Amino acid sequence: MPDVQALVNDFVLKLKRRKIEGSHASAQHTAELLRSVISHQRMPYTNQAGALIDAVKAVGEQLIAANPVELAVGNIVRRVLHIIREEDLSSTATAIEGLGLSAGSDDDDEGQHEDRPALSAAALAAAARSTLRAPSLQTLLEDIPDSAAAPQPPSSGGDSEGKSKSADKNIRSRKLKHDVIEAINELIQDIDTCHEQISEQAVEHIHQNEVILTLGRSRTVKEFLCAAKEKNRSFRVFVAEGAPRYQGHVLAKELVSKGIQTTVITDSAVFAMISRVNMVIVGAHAIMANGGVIAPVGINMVALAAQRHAVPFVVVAGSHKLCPLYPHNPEVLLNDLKCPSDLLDFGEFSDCMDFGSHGGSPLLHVVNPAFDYVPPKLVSLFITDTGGHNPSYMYRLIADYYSADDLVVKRRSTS
Amino acid sequence: MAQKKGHRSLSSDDPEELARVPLQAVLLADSFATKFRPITLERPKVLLPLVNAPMIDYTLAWLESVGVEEAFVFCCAHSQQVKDYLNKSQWMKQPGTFTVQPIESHDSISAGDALRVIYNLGVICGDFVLVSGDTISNMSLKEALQEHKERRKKDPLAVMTMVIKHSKPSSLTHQTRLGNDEILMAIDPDTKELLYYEDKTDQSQRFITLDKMLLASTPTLHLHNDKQDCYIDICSPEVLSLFTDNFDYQHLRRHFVKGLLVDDLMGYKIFTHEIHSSYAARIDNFRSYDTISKDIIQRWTYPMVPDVQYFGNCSQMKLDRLGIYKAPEVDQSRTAQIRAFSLIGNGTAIGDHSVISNSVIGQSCTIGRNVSIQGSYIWDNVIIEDDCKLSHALVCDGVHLRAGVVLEPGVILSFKVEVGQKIVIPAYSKVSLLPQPSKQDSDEELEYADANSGVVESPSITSIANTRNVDPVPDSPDAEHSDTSEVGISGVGYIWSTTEGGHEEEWRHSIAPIPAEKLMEFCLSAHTDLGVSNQDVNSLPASGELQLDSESTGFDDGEDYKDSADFEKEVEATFQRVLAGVNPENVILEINSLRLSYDMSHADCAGSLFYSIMKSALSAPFSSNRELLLNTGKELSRWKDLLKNCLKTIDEEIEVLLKFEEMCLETTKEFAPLFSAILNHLYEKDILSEDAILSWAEEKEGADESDKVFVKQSEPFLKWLREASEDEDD
Amino acid sequence: MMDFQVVVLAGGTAKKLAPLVSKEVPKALLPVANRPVLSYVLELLESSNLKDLIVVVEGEDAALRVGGWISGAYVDRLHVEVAAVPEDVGTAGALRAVAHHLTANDVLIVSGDLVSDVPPGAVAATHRRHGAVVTTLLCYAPVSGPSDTGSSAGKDKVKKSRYNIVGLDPTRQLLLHIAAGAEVEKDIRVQKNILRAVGQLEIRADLMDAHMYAFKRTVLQDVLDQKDTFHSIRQDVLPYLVRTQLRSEISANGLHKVEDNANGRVSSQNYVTWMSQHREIAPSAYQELLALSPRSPENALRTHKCCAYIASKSKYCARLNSIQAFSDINRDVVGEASHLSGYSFSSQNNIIHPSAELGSKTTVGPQCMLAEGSQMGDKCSVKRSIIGRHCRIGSNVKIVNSVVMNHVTIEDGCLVQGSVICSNVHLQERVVLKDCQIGAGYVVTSGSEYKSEPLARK
Repeated sequence: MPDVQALVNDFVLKLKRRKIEGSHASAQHTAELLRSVISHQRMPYTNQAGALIDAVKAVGEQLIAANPVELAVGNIVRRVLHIIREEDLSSTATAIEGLGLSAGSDDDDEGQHEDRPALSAAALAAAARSTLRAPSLQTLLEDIPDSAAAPQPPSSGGDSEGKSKSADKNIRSRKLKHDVIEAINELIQDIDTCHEQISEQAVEHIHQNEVILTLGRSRTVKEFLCAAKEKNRSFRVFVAEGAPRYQGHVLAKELVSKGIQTTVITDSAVFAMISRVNMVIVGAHAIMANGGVIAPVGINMVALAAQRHAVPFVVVAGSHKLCPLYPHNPEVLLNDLKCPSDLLDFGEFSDCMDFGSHGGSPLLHVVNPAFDYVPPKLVSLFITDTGGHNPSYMYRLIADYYSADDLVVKRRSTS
Repeated sequence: MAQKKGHRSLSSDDPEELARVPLQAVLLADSFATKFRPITLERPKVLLPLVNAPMIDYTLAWLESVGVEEAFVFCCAHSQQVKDYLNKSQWMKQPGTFTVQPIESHDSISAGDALRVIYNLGVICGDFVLVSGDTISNMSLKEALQEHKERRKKDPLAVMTMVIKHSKPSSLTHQTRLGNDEILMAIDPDTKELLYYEDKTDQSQRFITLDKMLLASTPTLHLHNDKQDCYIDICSPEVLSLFTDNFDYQHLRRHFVKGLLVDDLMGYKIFTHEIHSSYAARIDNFRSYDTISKDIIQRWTYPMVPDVQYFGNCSQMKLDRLGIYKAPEVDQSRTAQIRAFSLIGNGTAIGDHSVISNSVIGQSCTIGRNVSIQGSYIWDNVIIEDDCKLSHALVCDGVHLRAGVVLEPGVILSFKVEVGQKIVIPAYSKVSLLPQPSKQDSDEELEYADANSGVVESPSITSIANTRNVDPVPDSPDAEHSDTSEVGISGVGYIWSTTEGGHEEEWRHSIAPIPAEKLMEFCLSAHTDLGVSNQDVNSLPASGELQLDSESTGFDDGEDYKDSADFEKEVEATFQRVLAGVNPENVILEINSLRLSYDMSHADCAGSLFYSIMKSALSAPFSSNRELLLNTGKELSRWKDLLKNCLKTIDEEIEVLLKFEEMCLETTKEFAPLFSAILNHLYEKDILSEDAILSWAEEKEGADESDKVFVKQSEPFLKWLREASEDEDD
Repeated sequence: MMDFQVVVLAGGTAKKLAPLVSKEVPKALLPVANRPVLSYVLELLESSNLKDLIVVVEGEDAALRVGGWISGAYVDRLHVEVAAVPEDVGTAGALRAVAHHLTANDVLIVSGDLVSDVPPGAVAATHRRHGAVVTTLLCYAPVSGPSDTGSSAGKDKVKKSRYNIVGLDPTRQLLLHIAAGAEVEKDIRVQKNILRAVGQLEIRADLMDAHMYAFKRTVLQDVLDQKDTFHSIRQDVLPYLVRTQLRSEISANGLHKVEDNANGRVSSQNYVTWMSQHREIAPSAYQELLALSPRSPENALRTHKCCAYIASKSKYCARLNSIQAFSDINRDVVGEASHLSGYSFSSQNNIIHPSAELGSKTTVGPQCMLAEGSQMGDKCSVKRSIIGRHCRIGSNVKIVNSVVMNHVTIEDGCLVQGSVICSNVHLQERVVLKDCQIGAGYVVTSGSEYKSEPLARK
């Protein structure tokens, strides 16, 4: 399918050239891309899920390689893979149910299914989980992608019901693809609305006359604060300017325009100010499986300051930033070194870098890392679009967003 | 896909964008220089890998990122290679609004020719960006373009905007970190107009001379030597036609820019745009290759850095601490060390105990045991056997160094050279499979364009060329390089020779850092030089005014000077021909035509002619002043008529006197004691009328003491004259 | 202003100003709005609390007259020594003559013909702040009155020659290049090593050297001894010091390593400006060069600093060094720069001394001055002119754009335009003068007409 390929290449190029940056944007684009990939995927008769998964993995691999720093891309790819598995699982489940082979499935569940055949994938998956015994679930999950073991589940249905198989399959084939796309649409929906979702919880966390400290500019944080303001909470915000990009200045403007009491401070003043602060709210670049956070540079310092003065340290992030990997995983690129000229005027310092006369080895080296890693023990609370969680709870979230064997997105050599 | 693309372009263009002409760029994929010889004999400069990606990719990527829509790649030398590369590359098949279009020409020998070709193609429809294919930048052109367009609206004569950047040249070597000579610019601080540009300053001169007319237009100007020319120009279409009109414009800066600045007939203006935080530089020589590579590794060119793999094609790098970039499949022995600021390409293997620092190593190279590589650039598929030592060397594709080879700083090994065991390649030598060329191909720097510019290769090459013509056998005694002896048993390659003069200069542009002893020399010379400068300044008339025009012109390097000095030379030459026995009448004609062509005044003629006569007088051997006086007398009487011919009015005569004075002051001090005597002579031979002499004396009245030396000296003579005249009066 | 000695170079009877100046009236005593021009300098200095002055006058009797006047006018206000030097020794010579009187660390040298409101204190302060060897006062072109607008070529030349071409560092505090006198007319020749040191050099043609210099005494004295050919401060000493600032030949106690000035906070926004303040004139390279060089430090490279104090455009600054300047300044001091005159102006923006008598139908326009005891007949009109003390002016006299000094008699029907009439001149009836200068005591016979001529007694 040429034009999907074109789309993919285009997007890969954009990622490579850093033309798409920021987890939200890249997550969205990734999801949309994958949707069109799937919608153009021709479906074989057997092991459709496997085919889809391979297609997605093939694309996903490229995307992730294109800009390994954007973990969100990987996350979405894995989410989609997960969705496919779930849908496939649920459809098999329904199939099994349809054949009435369900062992100990309670009527309520079944009735529910009868009433609303097009039930949301998640519910069905849940149903399937509750219905099927763990081992078989296990086999399903592992075998579907595996082309060798692929024919197994249908065959199990096969011997039981011969004639209606093909017809049934056609329905299923269209259904699976359709459901997956449905589910991805939901996913995209979620990504779009994650800010609102998060902001809704603002009032529960920000109270009257509190002092909030944040660093740099995170859209999520901004929406969060503004939401609280709209609910007529009056509070004050300390904004650390967030060198070297000084995004804090921008945030300050936006907050003031929303009528929020704002104080701009230098990053280095954070420790001095922290004692007056009731709560620290920051955005994140990514949340790792262990509850650690990859966040704009400087935030680790804030976190330490907060811990020192027992100020709650809250991280707000959409669930698309939830990364199933652990910071120590080899394929995780923890940091991105930006351009030194954010810090210095190259021209003014050029004579410090005259390699001709200084023995050829550069004496001046400017490092401009984009991110900090904040260990989980420093984080008091995560607020995602699904609510507030402890760092220790992250692995649970991850468990229902991702499936265990997608962690490494590598296309297995089929055929 | 097509319809997708259409859709995209639609979405990207808002109405006003549709209205305007697409932003175009001309990329010169030929340096028209020999600085990268011998490598450029086999591969065009723009395709040489810079931190493992061809230079042209950086340039194109930048053009694309600043919103250029059509880029015309002008290929000349090795045009086929360039075109092939482009066809393979992403740029051609790239979706989106950026199109790359190669233009081929084989007979162009300069940027000037290139632009003329492009003009004749008539592809340029609006303002365009002019860069050469070796420009690395991450600057945004938005403001620059904006400024340019607005200026154009106000003043259609503002044809060009030059991008400049702060960068202080080393005060010892007077060259920038990029190895270019320091550039002197005068810029109007308010309008940013470029008023003066000199990139080949003669180090022997201690003064910069600016035409006083510069200050007539504006009360203040800024004189810079701390600005670097990024060689990124925003040009209006007129530029092309200008090149076509003045077919002798070859070099963008030396001819075009200076040309525009000097002639005020057409009144075209050039403006500058200074960039601060963003990066822009051009790879002009090996030193800039080294410097810019280091800048890239230090990420000043972000996002064009190895680990961002901006140009898709190169393999995914991973950046460790201390700026070590490593491709995924590097087979590195546990005991091998990779030190800071190094880059290791994909599929390269590094043996035990090898140490690599400050170096860039290409793809699938094999590096043996106990190899030390320092500050070097090693391209792809290079084999380096055990115990080699490379420091500040450049090693091209497919080179094979056998065990124990030592490359001293500044060595260049061109493609597929093989060096035998335990050979030591001396510093700054260049080795290539190809012998030094005997003919100048299109990748040759124009000799005349560069005659005075101290580029090392040109002379050396010509000198070799001769020997070659004499006898083309490579390993013949006079062609001083034969494979075996030079590059060792089973070695393959010629060591290119550089003449002594060349070798002197090698270090300036080489990859190797400037040796400490060189710097030392400079310190001392800097001291002495300063000392000299002061002494000589003090040797001037003690008055603060440095009022010695000829001497100053002898020193300064403004265009106007060039003319007058050339003029003087010409006149002298002509005069020499007279001495050689050409009929004086013709000479007079010649001198007059010279005068017209240089549009000099009669006075200048007289002055310079007199000058040459006196010199000829001086040329004759003499032991005492008397003899000198006699010689002079002879010469004068001999050339009286010739000289008379130029002395139409009293002004010329005065000019001659002033000239004479100057000579006595500076160039030919020998005459100083004889001034009055010779003056007398001139009067006797009625070359000079008495009014002339008197009015000269009067003119001097006003001047301050120091300036009246000669008036005083000749006071008696003057006195006598005055009395004489008074006698006549009554 | 502790430890600053002031030398006022009051000149003598400058040829340029003939016939205005004479044995009786040396340059320093030429009246500007009926006050000796020297008084403007003295009061300017006094205003900056510089009260310890040496006034150097060329010529014995000129010195006597100046001294006499000063002791009369400033007896208990200033401590002034008047020193006489021979004619034509030039400013440098004049200083040599008084050099032995100089004891203070720094010396402020002011030209006696300066009419300005730039506080000398500011110049002195700049000098001290930078530890400069010389600091010079630079002014923008003087405010020029309407009569300049109709500028003849000749006048332009006068103006031009008053200008200098100066080179400044980006902070505009260091003086890196100065072209004085005839050199201004030539091409600009900048020393490369100085340009290299600063990297950026601002060259201006719209500034003039106002002849107010602060010198480090030791340096000044050294230079004066060593360079005995030096004739003029402006044309020899100053350019010499500026020229040699990167390799000073003056004795060790006169020199200073140059350190950077001004400090600011670097932020991504303003580092550029901040950096530009941080450029050093003594380039790092010269230090490293010192480090490398085998020579012992004392004979290694020495630098000294030449600084400039640039007066703001609003300040008035002019020198009475030509007849043109004389009339310009007189006009300005009762006109644009009236705050200098120290008089209080009437509602018609002119000054008419109560003791002056005006005939009927006689009008005195704005920007005019009529000093005490002068009498004017009927139907006279005075426009933009200054009339001194005890002048007798008949009827139907027109005086326009002119300066009339004291005890001048002008009989009926005279027309005086753009002229200068010195004291005790007698104009008989119906004399017509255009752009003339009449020397003291001259008598213009009745009915004669003169156009742009200087007239003086033989």
